[in-house]
Amino acid sequence: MPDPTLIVNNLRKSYGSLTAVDGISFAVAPGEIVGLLGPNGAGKTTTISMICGLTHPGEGSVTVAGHEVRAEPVAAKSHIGLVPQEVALYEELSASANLRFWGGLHGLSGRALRARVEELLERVDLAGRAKEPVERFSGGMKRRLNLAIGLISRPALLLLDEPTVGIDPQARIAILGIVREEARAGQAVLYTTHYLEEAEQLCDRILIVDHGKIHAEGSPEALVAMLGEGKVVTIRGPFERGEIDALVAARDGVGIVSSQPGRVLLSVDQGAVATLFDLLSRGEVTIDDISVREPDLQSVFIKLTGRELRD
Amino acid sequence: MTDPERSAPPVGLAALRLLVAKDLARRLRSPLETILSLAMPLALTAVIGLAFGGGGESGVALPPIGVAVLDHDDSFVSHLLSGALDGIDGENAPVAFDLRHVASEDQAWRAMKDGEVSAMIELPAGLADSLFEGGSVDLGLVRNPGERILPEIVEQVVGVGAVLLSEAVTHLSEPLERTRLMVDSLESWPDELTVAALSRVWNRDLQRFERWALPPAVTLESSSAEDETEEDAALDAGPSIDIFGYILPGIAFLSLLFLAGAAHRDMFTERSLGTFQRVAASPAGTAALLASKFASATAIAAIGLVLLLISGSVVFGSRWGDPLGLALMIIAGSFAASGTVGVLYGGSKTERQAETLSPIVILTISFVGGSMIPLDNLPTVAQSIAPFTPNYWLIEGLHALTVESASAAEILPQAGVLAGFGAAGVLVGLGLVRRRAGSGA
Repeated sequence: MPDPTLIVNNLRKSYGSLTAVDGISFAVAPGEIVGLLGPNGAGKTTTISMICGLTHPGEGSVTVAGHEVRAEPVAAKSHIGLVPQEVALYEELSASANLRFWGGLHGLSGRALRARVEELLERVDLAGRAKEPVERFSGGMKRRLNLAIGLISRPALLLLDEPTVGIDPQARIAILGIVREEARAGQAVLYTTHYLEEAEQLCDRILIVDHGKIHAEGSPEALVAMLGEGKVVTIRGPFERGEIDALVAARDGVGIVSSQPGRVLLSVDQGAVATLFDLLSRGEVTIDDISVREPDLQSVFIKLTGRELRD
Repeated sequence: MTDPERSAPPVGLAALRLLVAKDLARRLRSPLETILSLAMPLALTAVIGLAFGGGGESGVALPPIGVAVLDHDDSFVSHLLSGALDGIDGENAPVAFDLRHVASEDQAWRAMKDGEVSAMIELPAGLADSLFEGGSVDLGLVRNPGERILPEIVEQVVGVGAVLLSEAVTHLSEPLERTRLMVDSLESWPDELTVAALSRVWNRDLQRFERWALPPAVTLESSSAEDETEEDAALDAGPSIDIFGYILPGIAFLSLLFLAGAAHRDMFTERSLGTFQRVAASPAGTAALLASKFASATAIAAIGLVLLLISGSVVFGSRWGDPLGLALMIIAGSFAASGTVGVLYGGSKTERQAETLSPIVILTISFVGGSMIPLDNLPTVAQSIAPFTPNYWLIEGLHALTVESASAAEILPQAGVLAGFGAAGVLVGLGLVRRRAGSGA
């Protein structure tokens, strides 16, 4: 087992009375893709900022490729490739000029830099537009270039913060393909996304984060298995908290995953689905919508945090 | 895992060089703002210069300087002295004088108050006797308190005249003695032919001093009644000075402040683009990025000033003096512009705040510093505040190079003060912006 590329140890950060990150610890091994899932305000961005050295942690430490970020910032940062959520490019400059600049900042120069720039432009399918100012690019092209810049230095650790926001499915597939290739080449990848299906498809391991803490950790399959082998039933309507709970309490094969006013999530054994529908059709509670589906990460997320990822 | 073709990432000056090169490349790709910033001072200089009567190839006619003469001696010698001053013409001197004989100090004061004369020269009673007896002569000079440069010019010219007069008393004993005898033998004031003859004698001996005495200060040339018309015409035409070259430095510095402001504003642009955070997360780090904005602003201002001065030479025919001194002023001035504006942007929490504050401050210090209106024409209060602005020191330095033909060594004080403005601005501005960056603002 190789040494982890990224070790996050008991990281804490507070802003006044608000605790943004509350004792987070995890590690990412070379070649591993780890997803960081959590709603807005969960502490994901603060965690990534501390890993990059942009924000000083109140407590704890971050080690990248054997270098502690606060003690050896230059050495640690030289192993990080950051792909931020916003498209962080110089729009007046061409794609190749952007890549040359960021490559230069990471110590690439001369023939090696030129070769790397050409290689990346080919990989993100921008070779034909290399000399054009970025401001003429579409959103998808900018996203691809944004990713290429993160890869320019062949970093040991690739940090991807929502890299596929606002792009078409084709560009998304291309980006996910490149991330997989990088991981196969041995890069450790930390990936945050709101798209649960992306995390499910891409990540070897997922950390579910909320209120600055990790609530669960494991492979997508292991996390989904937390809900058992039955179905997930979501009930929506103008009911109060507890009304559905009282209705289904003590029924065999029905478990409450999450209960909120207007929305209840149930874990229901295959054989108990018909019984549950019977119960609900008596009209004791007004129901607008019922859906039945296989257990997924969204259901796990709701079970763990009591809210949907985009709440 | 790390790329074997990658060397150690650049830090410090190496990172700064990359960041500045990137800023310059971006500016080059989007040059409209820079072009407008450079065109504006040239247009303003042309307008102001033409308003002052410019239009010649290398300069414009400056009106003669009004000087009141209060002659208590009313002797042939005092007439000769005031005639010498009156005889300074535009062909040999950078200035010409328009003498106005007054009967009293009150009359002179009124003329000064009305702006008709810039100074009063008082020729004391007994001037001729003292001169012929080898005694000391005290010339009085009263400067118009409402003006600054023109009285200074009068004082300098009269000062040179006083030196020449002293030397004359010491070394021109023969013509003095002949003059005294001639004067003593006269029962009335001599006619023009007699004066002309006497002037020729003086002129012959004065030629020995031409090598070191400033030729424009005193010229005694024999002249006839017919020549007088030509002399008057020359005087009316006035001397040629480069009014555009005089105006451009001040307006150019105003433009530099705006150019530097645009470079500093880029900090806010980079924050909104997300490139600020991305560079800060790179090995270069936040410190290099912040410092690069000051360096970029200095470089852009320096390039701007060079282009403006070259344009000034091409368009207006201006000359900027000692190249080494000029280079010194360009570097120090650009650094001062960057530091000054950097404090404004460093101290602003938002781009909007900076964009509101900076024009107000830039225009105010440029007004007080003499960029818009020559200092002589500003109120006394503004004149006393001017040395606290970088504009003042750049203007002083460039004027020293052009008007006084100063050397690089002689403009070191001005360059030093400008460098001080720059250094103080960098320290304060960096401190402010780093504090904000640390607080996450």
